[in-house]
Amino acid sequence: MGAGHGSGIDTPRGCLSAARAPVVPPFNADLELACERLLHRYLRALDTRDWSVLESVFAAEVSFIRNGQPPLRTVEAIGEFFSQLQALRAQSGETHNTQHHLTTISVRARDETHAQSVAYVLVMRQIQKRGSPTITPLGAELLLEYQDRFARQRDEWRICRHEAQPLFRSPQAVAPR
Amino acid sequence: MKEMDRLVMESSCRQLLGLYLTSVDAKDLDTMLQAFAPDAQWIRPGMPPMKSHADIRAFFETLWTKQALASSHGHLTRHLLTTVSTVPAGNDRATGISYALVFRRANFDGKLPAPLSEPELLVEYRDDFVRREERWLIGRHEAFHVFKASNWQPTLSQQEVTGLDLEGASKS
Repeated sequence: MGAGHGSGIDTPRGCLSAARAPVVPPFNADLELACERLLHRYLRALDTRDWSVLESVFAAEVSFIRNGQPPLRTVEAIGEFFSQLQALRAQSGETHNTQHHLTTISVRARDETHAQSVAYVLVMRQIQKRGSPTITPLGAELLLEYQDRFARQRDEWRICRHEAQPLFRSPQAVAPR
Repeated sequence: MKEMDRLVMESSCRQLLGLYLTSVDAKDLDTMLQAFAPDAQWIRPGMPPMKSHADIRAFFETLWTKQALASSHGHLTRHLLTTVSTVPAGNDRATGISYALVFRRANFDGKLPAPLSEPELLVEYRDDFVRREERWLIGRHEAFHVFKASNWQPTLSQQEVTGLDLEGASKS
């Protein structure tokens, strides 16, 4: 995956496809900060498991692609996916404590209401098993690349397309679901 | 520098670093060079300064060609920018210090995800940023290897670096 890369498929209404080249510097600080804030909010939602936040992160019509799985198309579907994942882990007696660290980010405006970004996220995870005092050692589990597209809708920025690609994975990592 | 200008400068400089690092990882030289002033100086450990886009292009084309000869997918790298501190130095200049963790899979076989191991490098970047025609650009970029993995080795030998015939090699 490359910087500014995007397939142009799975583009919801209101979300520009990747066919048109993004604008290069000068940058737009308001837009960059707004887009970065959305990613921070999303990562915090993952770590706190507060799925109600997702509504303020993603557009109502969205393309959400994770681990190469078929896209989820609505914010409700994204919330449902993570709720089910959490429930599955709880059933197997596991609590996953995660921290998603947003590191490098490059936001590029495409026009006044559209932008796209490439960002790297380092994921730390501890798994606590029910009835066991043992907590797995803290360590980086994954290095993800996020490719996002943003749209400004009714004066609010939202993620309209999100794709997460695991680039590096620890051999000790839990299998993806 | 006024407070609002400073905020724009800080955001722009951080974005420049992000553009540079994501582009270098994507091996996208044309996009990467948009972050650098045409007369930018780039100083890397163990080699003469690069003093133009042509120098930077020559270096990376040689580096990536050598990596691709060893394995068709070259090296998989990701530069994770962490701490960034920028300070104004007049209305149209700023300086920055930033840290990056570098993950690398040499001889990448094309299968994702690659095994995650410890970072190969912790790099400190010292940058001079310049504003030209309302655009912030990197005017000078210097990288220091602060922590290195014990098995780290430069990809290009001294002989190969000399063979680049950099503009900076004759003037420094």
